[in-house]
Amino acid sequence: MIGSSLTGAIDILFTGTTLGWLLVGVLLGIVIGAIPGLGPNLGLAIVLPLTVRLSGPDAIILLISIYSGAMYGGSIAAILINTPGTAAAAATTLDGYQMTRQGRAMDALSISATASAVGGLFAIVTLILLTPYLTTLVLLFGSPEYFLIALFGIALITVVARGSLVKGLTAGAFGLLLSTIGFPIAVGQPRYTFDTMLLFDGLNFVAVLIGIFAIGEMIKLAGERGGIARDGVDMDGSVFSGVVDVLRAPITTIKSGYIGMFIGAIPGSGASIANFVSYAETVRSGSGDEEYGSGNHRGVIASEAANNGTVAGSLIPTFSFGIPGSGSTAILLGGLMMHGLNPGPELFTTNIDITYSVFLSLLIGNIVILAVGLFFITKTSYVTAVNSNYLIPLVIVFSTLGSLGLRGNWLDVFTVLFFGVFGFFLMTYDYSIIAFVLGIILGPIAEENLIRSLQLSDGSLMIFVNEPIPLLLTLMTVTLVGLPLLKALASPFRRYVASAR
Amino acid sequence: MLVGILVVSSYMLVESFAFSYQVAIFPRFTAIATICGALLLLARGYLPESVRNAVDDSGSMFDYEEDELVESEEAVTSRAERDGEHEDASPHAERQQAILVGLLAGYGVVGYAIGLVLATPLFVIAYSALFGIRKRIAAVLLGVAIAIALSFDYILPVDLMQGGL
Repeated sequence: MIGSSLTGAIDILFTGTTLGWLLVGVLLGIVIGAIPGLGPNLGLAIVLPLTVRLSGPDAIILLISIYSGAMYGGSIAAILINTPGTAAAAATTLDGYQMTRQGRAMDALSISATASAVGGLFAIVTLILLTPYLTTLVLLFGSPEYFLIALFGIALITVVARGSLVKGLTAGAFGLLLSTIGFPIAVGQPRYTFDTMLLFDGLNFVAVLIGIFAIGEMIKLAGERGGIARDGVDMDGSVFSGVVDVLRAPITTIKSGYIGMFIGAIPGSGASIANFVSYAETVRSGSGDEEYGSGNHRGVIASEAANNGTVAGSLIPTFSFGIPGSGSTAILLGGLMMHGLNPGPELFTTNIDITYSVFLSLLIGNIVILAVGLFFITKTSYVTAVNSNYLIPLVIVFSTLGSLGLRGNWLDVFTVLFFGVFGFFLMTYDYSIIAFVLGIILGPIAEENLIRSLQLSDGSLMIFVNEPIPLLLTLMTVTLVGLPLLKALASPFRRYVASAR
Repeated sequence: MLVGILVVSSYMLVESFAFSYQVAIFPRFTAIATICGALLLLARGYLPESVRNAVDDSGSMFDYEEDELVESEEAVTSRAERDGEHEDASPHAERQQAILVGLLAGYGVVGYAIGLVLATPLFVIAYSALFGIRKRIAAVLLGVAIAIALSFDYILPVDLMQGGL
């Protein structure tokens, strides 16, 4: 089974232009990741409409390569100018920039490339080995389970992410609500269309993603005075000694990769958390005489191996249940659905070759990251000299033109512009963007499975509690939402008891 | 924003009563959830302390690393302040963001009227003028934007020369 699937995956990868798209994706991802203020979400969002002309596997491989490349790219600006290109490289600044100040920028960059590649490789090989077990698990799920897992995903994201739980749930519910505009898949009756043909197909979730992740980010960036332009970074040090440093710390590298993979598999956590957790674990488990935060190469290894490990981890909930772990995987999920590849059983049965080809592309992508990171290391400082304010109009142009190309529907252009502003306000007021996006994407799937479940049970809601898996999912969702709320409600009482004592 | 969410979800809830049961159940359920959340957030200031805590509190599993995040942000911020960049000068920042939102609206409306390929250079010229971009860089941006527009017109299966009117 796994052998024939891998053979099919290799066929997909090594025929036509697929490898070319992989290479383009990784390079584009590295550049986008290296420019502070851009990052993988924006890169994926603006490229998504351009994948319309590509085959499903090519499109997904291009997108996932951008994601993987950006994870490494984020470390370049973190190391050279102490500004993480992406949130996933925030912990890299702690030791990486100190190494640059000590004249070891090349060491730090080669450590980052090597640790990213090794951490990513171990995580993706593990994912490939886990896939048969995932397939067994996914096939246990039916309509009630998929409806409940959508609700559980939104609840989990709001609990895992920092910020108000109520804000997160409200954002998620509003996303689900907006997804009901147009013709529902399961029942042929138009809703909220105001009798205009423009709204019959509903809001295009890809346009919403582009608006939130590209336009919203640009509005935010416009408020930051000046750019990130920085010249005169001294590229001193040795590439070779950086590689040796990683090879001499195999436990730290592999452990960090797996920490990243594990945290990446938790929806809502993402690489920004993984790199700090991994860094903290490395500090905790280090020998007492090692100092961190002053140019310790192990700090860079921990952060960078972890954030590339999250890429493989985040694919587990995304491909299995359609629950993205981060903004990037939400866009990736959008890309999957845009190309008719629905998450869940389909990806692990009829489309298993495509699933394995994506995993293998990540494997090759990590090797490309290593090669690019080591051989073009002296050129990386140019990327940090890009003034991101100059990119704002180009990103807006890219996004707007691309949105019209989705369906030729002007509603999509206005959707992009409107949700760009809406996304900016969500960011400003600290609402969970991922929960909102997840609601928009998962809405049609959740509704279709809800209606199918109710048809199976003659309208009885007992179908969601009368089998072990649905019951477990229901209990987990209720617990996830209820416990933090109960804890907060009980806090004045606990304080009263404590003061009485 | 919350008022907007509340108005939209209330309208969608009321409208759902015009649908058949199967068509209405999902929007009705999500509209009620949205309305409850929005009302709680809007009325936060008037709630008892325990309920306000429940509304404001995070259920985060990863709270323990926030200190480190803050520490890192402080490091980045201090570096930024040293170098005089990335300062969110609030009134200035808000003005810049408001200008950009206005430009976006203009780009959408003009694009709808005359086509996005023609509206694109106008948008870039307006952006460069309003954001004080140097002429040489503005010319480069204009060239790149026109190239993007023409490439998209060629690549995508849609006529970007045409407006929506």
